[in-house]
Amino acid sequence: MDRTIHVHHLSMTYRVPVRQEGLGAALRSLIHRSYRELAAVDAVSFDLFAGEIVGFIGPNGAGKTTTLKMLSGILHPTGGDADILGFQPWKRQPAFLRRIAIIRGSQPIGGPVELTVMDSLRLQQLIYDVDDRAFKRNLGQLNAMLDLRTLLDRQIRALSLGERMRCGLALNLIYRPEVLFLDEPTIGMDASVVETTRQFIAAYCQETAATVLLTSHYMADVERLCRRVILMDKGTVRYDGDLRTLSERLSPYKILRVSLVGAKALDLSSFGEVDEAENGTYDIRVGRRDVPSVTARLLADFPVTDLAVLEPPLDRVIDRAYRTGVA
Amino acid sequence: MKLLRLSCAIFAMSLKADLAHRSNILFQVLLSLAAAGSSLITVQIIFSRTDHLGGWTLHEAVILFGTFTILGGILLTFVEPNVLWFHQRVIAGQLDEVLVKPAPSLFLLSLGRHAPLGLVQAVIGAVIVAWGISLSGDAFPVWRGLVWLTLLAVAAVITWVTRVLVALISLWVPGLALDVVYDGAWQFGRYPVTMYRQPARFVLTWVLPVAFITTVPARALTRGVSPQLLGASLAFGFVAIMILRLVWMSGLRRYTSATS
Repeated sequence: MDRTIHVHHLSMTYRVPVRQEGLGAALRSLIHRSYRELAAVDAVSFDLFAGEIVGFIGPNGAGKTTTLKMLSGILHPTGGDADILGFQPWKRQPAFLRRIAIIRGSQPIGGPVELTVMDSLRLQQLIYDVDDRAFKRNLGQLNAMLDLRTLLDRQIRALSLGERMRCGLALNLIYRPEVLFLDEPTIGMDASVVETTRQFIAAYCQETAATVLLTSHYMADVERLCRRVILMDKGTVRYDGDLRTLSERLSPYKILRVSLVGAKALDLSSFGEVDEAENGTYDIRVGRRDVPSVTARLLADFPVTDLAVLEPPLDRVIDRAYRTGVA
Repeated sequence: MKLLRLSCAIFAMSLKADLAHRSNILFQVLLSLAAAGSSLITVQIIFSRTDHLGGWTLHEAVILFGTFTILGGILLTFVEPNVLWFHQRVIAGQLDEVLVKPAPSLFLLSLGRHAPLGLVQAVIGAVIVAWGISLSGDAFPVWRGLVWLTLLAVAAVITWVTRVLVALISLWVPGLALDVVYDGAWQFGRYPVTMYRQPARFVLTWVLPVAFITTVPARALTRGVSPQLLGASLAFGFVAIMILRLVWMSGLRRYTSATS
């Protein structure tokens, strides 16, 4: 696979003014200002390869968005280097900008809101030098995937959040970028729009082999789209690897979901810690190694109507990673 | 060439959006007429008491006011939609959108949005200039008109530069909005700078270059200007663009965007 993104010791340090509390300190700070160095991103390194969709996760303030902004050329780092498709992002060369897109769920469309969606797409065509043939072909494909027909002649200001996201995706993908930076793409959306967006991202990447770096606080986004995750905390990379491996490392147990004949409450604590019990269905925490033996005992001792072995919810795994770190 | 095509496309799309609201057009025409009418009445009142204002006769003052109105229309159409409340865009991190596009960021930032109805004011300004010419009763040579048009273009550039420079201050002082201050300074342009005493005249020529924006173009049409002054105006316009570019590049280094 071709390497599309190479990040080496990338750093961003802000110099922020600080002062003690109280009016006296505020007055003194007018003459003698004190500053503190704040490392938003601290020597971050990773590589991404063509066609990869990588989850870029971490708690608020971990440095994810700052990293995305440096990689898309918006911010100039204070240290380190990055190479994307052979370009240094912060030089913002047109040839580079034509091949990347950054899409923010909080602000999916940035241009003038009084224009119609079609006018905005035409403007993108001009800015990104997309020829007419490619424009029509790409628009046809995006239309099929995002169902834009009823939106094209509407003003952007009149669109709902979900419609804005669909149009924002179309506006940013009409020129077929090879690298996508997706910053919370499903934030604030209802369940059906979230699923549509996820399906679209997966389909787009499969079709174009685009490389995607995705930040999201919704672990369902990450679970659905990414095999690999990079976990950031306090500006540094704490984990970079397979999502399943991270889950196994942080959660040394699985969930056995077992449904039994009859709704009578039973004591199953001898098999493991019972998380939930409702209408004859039980979620039992079982150590990964013990799953086969416990399953066999359950099947032998009880009239089981259904049994499933589940990974623990990713939200809990990641929450644990944020709170206790990755060993 | 790409920037010209982009400008035309943005203007056409914005015009299409504006034309969808007929009441907006009507109000814009009425407001522009009311503003121009009240200013012209003021000029008439002044000249009912005197024959000259800073060395300018009535028809010359009318031409100057028409030039000022044309430039006001250009400012309203092409620049103001981009820089009004600019500090809020800086604070909200909305400059990101222009920084990731493969076109000159300064162009997209300062000329990327248009309000075509503002041109109603420019048309009214052109009518006022024509009226001023007719008031003089003299024949104006064509070359004077061409020099006036050239200096009008330079004035438009200087207007754009000064307005954007004022907006860019918020890259250094994000909480500072100087829109109202600029508007106040802009109003000095409706009268000839010779009307003001020193040091105000110096300030209005070299610090807030109101002289190059309205007085010099209007003087070119009424009495003509020397080749030296024409050259100085062109050089001033060029230097202004260079200064704007430098300030933008410098300010951009201070831009920290916003959190998500």
